[in-house]
Amino acid sequence: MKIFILIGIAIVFYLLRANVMAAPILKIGDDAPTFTLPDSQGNQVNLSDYKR
Amino acid sequence: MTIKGKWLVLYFYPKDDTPGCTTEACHFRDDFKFLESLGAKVVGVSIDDSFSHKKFAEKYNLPFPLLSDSSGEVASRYGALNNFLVIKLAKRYTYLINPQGKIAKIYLSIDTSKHSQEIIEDLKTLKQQI
Repeated sequence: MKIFILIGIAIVFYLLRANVMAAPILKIGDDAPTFTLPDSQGNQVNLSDYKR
Repeated sequence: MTIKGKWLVLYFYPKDDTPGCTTEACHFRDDFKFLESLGAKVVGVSIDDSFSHKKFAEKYNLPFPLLSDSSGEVASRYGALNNFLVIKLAKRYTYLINPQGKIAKIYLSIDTSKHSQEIIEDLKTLKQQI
């Protein structure tokens, strides 16, 4: 009986963990994180290229 | 690039030239002009290198930039990184960023064949709210 309770608790923890991990770290209204990455032509593209 | 004051469709995808990613990219390609007319630019990001992106973009005539996030750092900042020990893949997440650089909409569950249209509808709505 005890073992089932332990397994149950383990499953609940596992599911909670999965939920926490699936939660997006960004919300609507947040500043978009900056980035600078190369495109396929080797140009560096910044987020700030798109902002006002 | 002189594209300031634009909405930005920043879309993360797992891998160049695989079925879902191709469908998604080709819809963005087909809707590219219309998205531009709404003041939006499209940028794709994956972990693939520039060479892979170049082949993918040329094969399907993709008119928008594909960026290489080889370290996964940017994907991770956007919560869009799957790290399978030795293999990193970006998740299929899209962020719609407004001209002020704020996140206007987040897409975490994407139907690749309807995604572009979904964004067009949302852009129209969001633009009316301003």
